[in-house]
Amino acid sequence: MKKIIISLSLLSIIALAIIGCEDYNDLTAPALNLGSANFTRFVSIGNSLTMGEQSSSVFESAQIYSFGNLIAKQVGTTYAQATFSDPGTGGRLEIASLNPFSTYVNPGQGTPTNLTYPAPYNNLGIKGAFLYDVLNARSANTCYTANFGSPNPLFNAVLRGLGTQLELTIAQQPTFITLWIGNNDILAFATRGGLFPPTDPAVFQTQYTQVLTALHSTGAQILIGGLPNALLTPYFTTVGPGVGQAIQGIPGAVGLVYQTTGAPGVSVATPTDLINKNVFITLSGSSAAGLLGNTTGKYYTDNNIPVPPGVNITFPFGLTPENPFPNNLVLDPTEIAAYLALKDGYNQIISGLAAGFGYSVINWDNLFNQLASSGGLMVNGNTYSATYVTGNFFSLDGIHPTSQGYGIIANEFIMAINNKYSASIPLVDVSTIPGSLVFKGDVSLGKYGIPNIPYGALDNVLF
Amino acid sequence: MKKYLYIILLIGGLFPGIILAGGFQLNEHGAKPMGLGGAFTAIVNDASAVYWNGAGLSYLEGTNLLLGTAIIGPSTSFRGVSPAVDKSTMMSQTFVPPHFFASHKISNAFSVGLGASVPFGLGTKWRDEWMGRYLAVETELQTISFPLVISWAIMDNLSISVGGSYSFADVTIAQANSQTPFVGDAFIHLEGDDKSAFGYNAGIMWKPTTDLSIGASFRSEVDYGFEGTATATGAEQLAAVLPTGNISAELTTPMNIQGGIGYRIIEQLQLSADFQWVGWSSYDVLAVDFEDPAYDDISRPRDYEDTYAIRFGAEYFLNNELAFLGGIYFDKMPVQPEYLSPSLPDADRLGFSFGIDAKVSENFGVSASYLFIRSSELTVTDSREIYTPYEEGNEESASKFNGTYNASANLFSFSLTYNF
Repeated sequence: MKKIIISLSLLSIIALAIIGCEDYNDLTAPALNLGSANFTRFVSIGNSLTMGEQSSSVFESAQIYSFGNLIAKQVGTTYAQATFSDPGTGGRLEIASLNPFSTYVNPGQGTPTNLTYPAPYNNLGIKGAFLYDVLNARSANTCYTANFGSPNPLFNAVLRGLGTQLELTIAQQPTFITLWIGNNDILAFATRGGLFPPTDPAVFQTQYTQVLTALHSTGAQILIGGLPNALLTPYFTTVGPGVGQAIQGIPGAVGLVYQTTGAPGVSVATPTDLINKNVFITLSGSSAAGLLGNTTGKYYTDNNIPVPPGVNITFPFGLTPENPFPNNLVLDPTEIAAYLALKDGYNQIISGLAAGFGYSVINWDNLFNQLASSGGLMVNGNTYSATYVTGNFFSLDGIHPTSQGYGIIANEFIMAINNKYSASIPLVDVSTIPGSLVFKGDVSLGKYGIPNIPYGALDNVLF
Repeated sequence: MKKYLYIILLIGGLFPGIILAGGFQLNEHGAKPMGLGGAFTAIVNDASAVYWNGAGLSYLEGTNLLLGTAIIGPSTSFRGVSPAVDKSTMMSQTFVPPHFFASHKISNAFSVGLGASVPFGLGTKWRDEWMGRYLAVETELQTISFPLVISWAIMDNLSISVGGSYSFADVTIAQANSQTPFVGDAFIHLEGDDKSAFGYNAGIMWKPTTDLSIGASFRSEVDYGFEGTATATGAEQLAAVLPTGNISAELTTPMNIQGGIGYRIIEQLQLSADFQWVGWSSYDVLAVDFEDPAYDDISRPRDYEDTYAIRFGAEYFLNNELAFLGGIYFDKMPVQPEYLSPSLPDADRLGFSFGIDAKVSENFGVSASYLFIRSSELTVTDSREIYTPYEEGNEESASKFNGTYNASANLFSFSLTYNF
């Protein structure tokens, strides 16, 4: 018995000795090759696309996947952001039901979670920023949209009274800057059905020159984002075809009768125009589209606006000149042409200035055209497209990317950096980024596959 | 001492268990064979012959009981996904597969034996949120087999045996499913069991001289047909598409052929060696069928290959009461690295064991042993396992679960014998 105990003790001691050794080989991740790129201090200037907005809100679980933060992670540099706890800055769209598809506006609001960060944020993207704001805005009341009665509190949250986006960039003595601004200077015109004045190209040229000249003086490397064609996003392409099909089923209806800005006051989009996307109805107009053919003024009462003079709500809504579809929800061929011409003009200004300073500009046409093509874009085993919800590139507001969409955008930046600075920064594996369309439990019905977006949810949509 | 062992056995009875050897076979059926590295087919001299080689029963007198358990603590890590080297560690679990065997000599010619043990099992558990969660979170297979063997002593030094076994098994598979493009993961939980599966076995043992013995045994495949249910948790809005309801699955555990030789080179020392062939090619696909045709059946190729283990043991008899055991073995992995899944990490394994076998009284004996298993480090570079959401048909460009696995295990085993 004694021997047994001695043997067992001996056995246990030897056992412990063996358990103690972990003979893992050291593994090392491949060395990062930044080429001549210098990410010591990395700053991003921009609007909601830089800030990481999704589904009409800026919230932390999405901001983690802002393209700047994704780039910073790939190159291993610090990147502070003005984060907001979920559901974010307010008005977040969530999915109430999938079949039929309907959304819900989360009435909640998060709080800033990085307010005490002791230095200016690396991410100086501000939702709703215009080019003007980079140079001039210091607060909610001095931003561009304040001139139109919409002071934007996010300028307070991001700038914290320390200066303009430009000043805070220069103060950080950046070594690398991404600049992606100007989208809103033309987007607001399109999302409001041609009713918001675009920035004058001459003013755009002056302001962009000022921004680039000031940034050039920092000596930082600068990568510029061009302006994508926002008309390829689901914000513009989702509702129209459904309305076209609906009208085809209404006896006697010739098309969508909508208000126009100038004479003759109303115009008609045939079902074919709508299905072929020659005329857009914005995603903001999806609820109004549900009223089509009703003798109703519900659109005006729901939105608390007076019935415009000359409109007779006893006529079928959207099908008659007496009760036409509202102007601000429709982008007609004239307005589409105006948008495209302005966008191309801005892009030429940006490219011309960038070339003068020797900076690269990312042209989004390839990416956006591929997303809009029937095959979509395949990345890491998944197909992404410009289709609403199922395309998985654009979030529920139809215009801001999903987390994975931002991953694809980050990769466009990384490819441009690798190209310009002979670097080989690894691309983000987009499939490892989690899905980001948020669910909520409230159900309502959508006709003809037209998503049911609550009134007002998207009225102020901007990049 | 006795009390301690009793407690351990009691725990063993409460948690009939699980673990890993090559694939998911368990070779721990008795503290003594474990201490000898599993080189026991030719020299089996206790009631565990019911498992190792039924023909060995002919050389046991009277009635023999053997009761014990193994205590198994595996540890596995994964570093990746390549080129990253972030380390994930499998959650620590302890498995306690018990064993019980009894034999009786009916006549000079015939002996019978029966028993209960855990021939196959596995249990792996990773954290819910780990990077490989779409491949595996919790996977558990338990089998319990009840063999019944009859042995015939053809001559004094030659015996053969045949037997059958009744087994039951249950299986649990839990993993996350991505809800992309929607936020969050769904969690799928599959559970099933088979309450009756049958196998058969045979053995032969020949002792040409007093010092030399030769033995061989055969254990058949066992076909399990699992029936069970799937449950899923996820977003309410996706409830209609989450797979739930009745499921069925099939699993065939492999055939084993094991041959060995034992030689007593001096009075105090007996050496043994075994070669074990395992027909792992029986495990070609992990398939789960949903009764409801609305859900896609799961089918993951595993393509296991037949494999083998080489085992060596040494028993040193200090005196009539006490013997020291030592063993070493090499166990070849049955799975090709490209099919390796974190639900069942595998690699070529080396086992080192030692132990004691003691006679406490005329009738009562105790044995205890320790086995350390070291898996060779395995780096997978051409994995077919895809660890992120992907569309059917886009496998080529999807993200593969490449990385480096390391595993080891500590096993303790205790057995009590009683002969009368």
